Amino acid sequence: MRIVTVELRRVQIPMKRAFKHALHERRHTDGVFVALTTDGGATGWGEILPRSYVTGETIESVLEEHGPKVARWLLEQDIAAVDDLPRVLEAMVDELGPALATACGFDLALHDATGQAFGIPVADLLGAVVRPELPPGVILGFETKTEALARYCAALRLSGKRHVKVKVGLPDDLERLALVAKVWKQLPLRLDANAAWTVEQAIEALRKMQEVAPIASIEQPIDPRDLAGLREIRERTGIKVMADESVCSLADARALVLERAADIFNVRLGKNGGFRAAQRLVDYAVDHGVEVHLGTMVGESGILSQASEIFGRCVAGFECLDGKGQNGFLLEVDILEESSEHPFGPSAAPGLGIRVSTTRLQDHQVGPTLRFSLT
Amino acid sequence: MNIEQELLEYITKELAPGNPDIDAEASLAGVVDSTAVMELVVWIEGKYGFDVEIDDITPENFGSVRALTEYVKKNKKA
Repeated sequence: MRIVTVELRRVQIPMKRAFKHALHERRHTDGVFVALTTDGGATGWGEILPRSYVTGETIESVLEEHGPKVARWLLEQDIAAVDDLPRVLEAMVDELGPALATACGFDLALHDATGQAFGIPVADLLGAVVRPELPPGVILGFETKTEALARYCAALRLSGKRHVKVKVGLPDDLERLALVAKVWKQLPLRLDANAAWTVEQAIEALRKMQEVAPIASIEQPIDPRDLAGLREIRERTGIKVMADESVCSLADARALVLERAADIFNVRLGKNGGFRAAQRLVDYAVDHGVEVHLGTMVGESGILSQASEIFGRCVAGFECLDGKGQNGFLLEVDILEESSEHPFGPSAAPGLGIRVSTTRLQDHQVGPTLRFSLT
Repeated sequence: MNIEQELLEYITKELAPGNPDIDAEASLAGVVDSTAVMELVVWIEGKYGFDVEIDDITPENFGSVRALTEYVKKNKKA
């Protein structure tokens, strides 16, 4: 199998409501969709959601630099058998370096295209389904006002939500945490500071927070590059530290383990380079006694949502999927033909088992399609 | 119009217009999402004149229109 055409499209989709944390407020999603056409006529789809504060990529760098570079490289590759796929994907990540959001888009598209070309579902390409559907993890961001928080939490509890992450970094964090804890009683809460604090601020804040709510972990409390600071927070508070922005590549994971700077890695396909690179990250974590958690990218479409669902079912170690189903509850419109109520996850269909709506893609496309072909 | 009819009308018209055939016994799970539950609580408080306690937002009280009717009857100010 060869890829004969690569297309990149910038797509913006409004969100039903804004999502806000310490680093960013988002009102629409802004990504690049990858379409790979094979010599047999199949089209595989992937999604790139660049975040400058995570992997350093921007929409512009994806469209002008990383995307064209990997597109031209991919057109030269030959995937004669399914077994060639891991080798090509690992070489692709090496080719792209830290541009892991771009790598994710191409990794997903190549899995989808290869699965279709060889008649194999992506779940089988990853190994096999090893667990039932992951429960959803809810994320309480700054957009939920404090006065409405308890009621919102009660409504979420009513719908059966039992995995909760609270964004922190606000002046009234303690009041908000107390309200959340009042609703979910003894449920340990995951906190996420999105690098809002210094080491001393983090330690002081976390000690106070421990007094008002049971805390399961603190995600990315400080600057992602300050590994010594992360270790200090672990050691002085006794709270598990989850690395998110700190862990994008396998090299990042090695550095965190070496520094004993994290207890948990937050794995998100969109920032970790897609299926293959994320799988290697999980394997490395397990081998080194680090727990793993599965998250999503805010504003992701059904392509990434479906990929995350499949990954979570095929890779052991995850308790829930944060942001599950957001392509339905957060986006004004999804890019897939399938209804947002469609039960995502592994299916018998080859590839990712999705159908992209070309009409909706065109409706929300910004700028021209970039096309690269075998000449 | 009695309380059950009022609740049914509000839910089917305002919160779940895509489900016009909801009956009083049907489960509301999957019919009204978390945001809609918040709207429902605010509406009940305004309409029937009492505060809905956080601990009262449970499947026992909010599981169906029939259950909700009983809850409103118990707490409604005369």
